[in-house]
Amino acid sequence: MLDMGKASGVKSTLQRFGSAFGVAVATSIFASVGTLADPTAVTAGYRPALAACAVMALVGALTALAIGKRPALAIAPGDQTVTIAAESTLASALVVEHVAPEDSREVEMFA
Amino acid sequence: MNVPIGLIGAVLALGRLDESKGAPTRLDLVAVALVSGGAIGIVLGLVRASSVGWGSAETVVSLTVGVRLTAAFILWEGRVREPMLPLRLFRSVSFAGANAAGCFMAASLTASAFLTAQFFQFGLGYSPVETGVRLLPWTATALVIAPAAGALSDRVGRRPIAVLGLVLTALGLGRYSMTAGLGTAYFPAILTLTLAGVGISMALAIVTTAALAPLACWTWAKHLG
Repeated sequence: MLDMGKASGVKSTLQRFGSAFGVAVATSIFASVGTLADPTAVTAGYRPALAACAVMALVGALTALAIGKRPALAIAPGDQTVTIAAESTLASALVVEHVAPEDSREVEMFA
Repeated sequence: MNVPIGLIGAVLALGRLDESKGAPTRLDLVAVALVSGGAIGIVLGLVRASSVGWGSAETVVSLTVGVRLTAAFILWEGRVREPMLPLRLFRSVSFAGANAAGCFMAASLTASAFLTAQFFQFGLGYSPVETGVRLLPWTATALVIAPAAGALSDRVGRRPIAVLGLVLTALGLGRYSMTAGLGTAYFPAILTLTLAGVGISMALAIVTTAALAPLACWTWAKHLG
């Protein structure tokens, strides 16, 4: 049984973890080459640490390539949930309204 | 400043938000212990590494314990009947990709905002308020860009917007990391940070919904059924 709350929890947890991870990595890099002692030392640490943030964004872009590429979920065709979506006009209308075009195509494909 | 804002939010949430309940499940304390210990170990190891060194016993032990506990958590979740983290969610390529992107997006955003605030204060010598005002073009772009990106993604799909947003973020931050200096003039420099701001605002708006969208239709269908 699917649980939206759990999926939402996964999303939030991973983003919180990402924040902690990003700051930890960036401050490690900062501290390995610079200090907060004087402006020149701050700049020396800041630049490579910010470059690491750019790399993190780039890795994020690569993983974002997977968005919406494959069917929404690992649900077998003919699964009860999908059948309901296909049979109920109201459900279909809601589905089409709330998902991106590529997702709704998948719904039709399953149906 | 954060406390009154939090209190106002709490009061509004009590009055305005409806409670939603899923199927009753028991709290899996073993899973909670494993995942909490794992996250603490990994983050503590990374944080301490900057002061005690990457090769130190404290860092190595902390990271090793963190990774092992996280691995144990995943194995545990694969075995129990009502997992806290249903692993089959990750069989959806879209769900896995959007969540990984969300993790790296948050890492890049939080770390770059934190570092840049430090750089403006302790490098360039601005006060906290002066720093906040000067960084507004970077941070305030979200107000304009996020709704526009949402509307655009309805037409062209979420993937191109999320990818483009994160690429622009990388370009802006990468360029600023090469050009930032004590003698650099504010005006052209802020444009590169604003580019990063436009990018992250696009990504923020899309990645979060993309992480949940694949599930939304099934869940609604279930509730209607």
